[in-house]
Amino acid sequence: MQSKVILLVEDNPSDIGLTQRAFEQARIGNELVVAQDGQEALDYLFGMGEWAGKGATALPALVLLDLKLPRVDGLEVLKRIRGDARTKRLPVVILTSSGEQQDMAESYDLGANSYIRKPVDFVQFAGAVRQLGLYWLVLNEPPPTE
Amino acid sequence: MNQQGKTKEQLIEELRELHRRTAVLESCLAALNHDTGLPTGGPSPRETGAPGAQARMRGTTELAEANGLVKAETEERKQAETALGLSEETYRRLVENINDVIFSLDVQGRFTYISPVIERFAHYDVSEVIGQPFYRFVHPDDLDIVWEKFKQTLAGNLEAHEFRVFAKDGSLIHVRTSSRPLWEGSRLVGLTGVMADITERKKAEEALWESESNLRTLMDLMPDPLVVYDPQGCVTYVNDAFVKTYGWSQDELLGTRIDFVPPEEAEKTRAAWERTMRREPILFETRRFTKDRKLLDIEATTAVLLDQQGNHQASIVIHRDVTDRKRAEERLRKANAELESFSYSVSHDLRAPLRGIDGWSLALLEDCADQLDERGRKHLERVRSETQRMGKLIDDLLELSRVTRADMRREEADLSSLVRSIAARLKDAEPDRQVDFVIQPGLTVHGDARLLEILLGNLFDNAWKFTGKHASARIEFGRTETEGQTTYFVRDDGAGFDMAYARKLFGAFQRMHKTSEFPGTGVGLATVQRIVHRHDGRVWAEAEVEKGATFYFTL
Repeated sequence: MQSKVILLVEDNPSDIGLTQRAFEQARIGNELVVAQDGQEALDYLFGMGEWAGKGATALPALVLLDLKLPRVDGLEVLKRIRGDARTKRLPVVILTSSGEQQDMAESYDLGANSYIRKPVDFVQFAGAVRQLGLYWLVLNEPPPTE
Repeated sequence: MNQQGKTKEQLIEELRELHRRTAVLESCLAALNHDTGLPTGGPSPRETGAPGAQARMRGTTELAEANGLVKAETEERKQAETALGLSEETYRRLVENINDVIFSLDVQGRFTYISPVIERFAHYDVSEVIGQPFYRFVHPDDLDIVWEKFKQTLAGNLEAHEFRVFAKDGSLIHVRTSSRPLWEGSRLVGLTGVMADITERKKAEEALWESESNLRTLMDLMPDPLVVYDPQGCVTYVNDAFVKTYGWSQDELLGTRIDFVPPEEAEKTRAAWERTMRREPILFETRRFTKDRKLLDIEATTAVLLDQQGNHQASIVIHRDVTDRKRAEERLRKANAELESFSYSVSHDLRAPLRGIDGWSLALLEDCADQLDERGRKHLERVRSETQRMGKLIDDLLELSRVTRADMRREEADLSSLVRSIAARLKDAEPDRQVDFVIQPGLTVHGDARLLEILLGNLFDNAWKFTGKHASARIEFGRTETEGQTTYFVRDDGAGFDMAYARKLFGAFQRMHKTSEFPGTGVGLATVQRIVHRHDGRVWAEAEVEKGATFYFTL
């Protein structure tokens, strides 16, 4: 079963705040769950650690994943998501500051659905988040659940 | 006696032939002795004639018989003399027709016979030699040994030897003699032998020795270690550099197999060896131990030496110690990796706070608009525009760094079509501007399309920017020739610049215009220059204030 939750994996409080603000401005009503590092994100998705017995049955509708994260980095999180039968079809959008070719290539190689480089200009950033929400939560047909 | 251009093998073969001929000759000599021995050894016609004379007194019949007998005997003797003459003639022709000198010496070493070839050989007349002791003709330095050999030969030790003799004109001739004792019945009367002129061969040997010695000197002067192996893999030569680099002495190495291949390099070395044996020229990177078990990184070049029959004679391996270079490469690789991670940090970590400053400034403007007056709002707008400028600067610097680091992928690149899409992008961004693009079609080059797009993008961004204050503009892209070289250009009719400052044009952070007039980071043309340089090209500009600028580049 799929919830309307969006999982934001991001360690920078300023970026978390701005992302929340962008979602509000875009009038995306979905609940935004924040994981502040890679391990927390995995715990949430696989119902482990702090999330033991709570999150496993309700996968988020979308994961917004930063790459540079404490403990487990974004690429590793993506690898684990794609490597598990429960989460392998989960839409994952890389949302990062990095514009390095190598990061993009590796993200797509590991099965990222989309790669967005966060612009410095908040107006552009908010626009990107709005379109992101519209596309993944409204236009896109979610993957079938098994 | 012309032996020029003959190989050592040919000379040896000739010597063998000479020995064969000597043997033939010796059997001729033996036959000769036998022939002359017959009439002297048998009953003498004179002796047999004596009883005939007595018989004459006895009667005519007997006399007639005796006469017949004498006639017959005379006839017989004539025949024997003819036989002797024939045999001598054969012998003489044989001896005089060979190029080598036949001689005989008495037990004191005086010439008792010498073949006339000596005249051609050393310009002596036969009569000048006969009766002379041989040592009169021998080079003083060789005399002792020749005298010794002479005595040995008389004692029955047959051994060819080489020494030097003087020709009549004083010049030295290298000769090789081969002789055997000469017996008369049971009496030793001297020796007989053959002497060959080996001057040419000696000269060839000396030349060979000299060239070998030159080669050795050369090999020893070589700064790179060199080793020569025999077909069994044992060392036959190492040069000085080898000794110096690896620490073993010549004596420790000669005739041994060097134990210096690290186990992990054995397979690679064996494969290289096999390719060398197939006569492929090899250059491979490997590692070797020194005597004190220090590992060296080396580049090995190998080659096989073959003899005339194509048999493996020796293998030469030249090592180049690249340990220092390898270390430098490793340092460079690490430095590059650090630069990568630095760029990554700049890209990721420096931009994040900027986004925060911009985002929260905007949040302040939006959320607290009623508490801010016009001045406060202006200040915040300035914070935002400066933040975004810094974001742009970081992006431009990252691009400059990427352009420098990126691997070059040369391929066929269509500049005209790149320019068309850049022009379309610019028009889309500001559809109200009146700009006429003139793009020469079909201009393709061999280069890195990704980098060339950045190059053209920067030049067109500039052209677009600096024509921005004119009501209408024309931006041109085309190809021309400068000093016989294909040159591409981007020309605009915009603000231009003062050529007095053109020198600073391509330096990073160098700007020709005030930011208030034309915003910019001053990195774009530095990036253009790096891309052109990476294509081994040249870039320059011509401009005039308010008349426009033309940027030229070659690739």
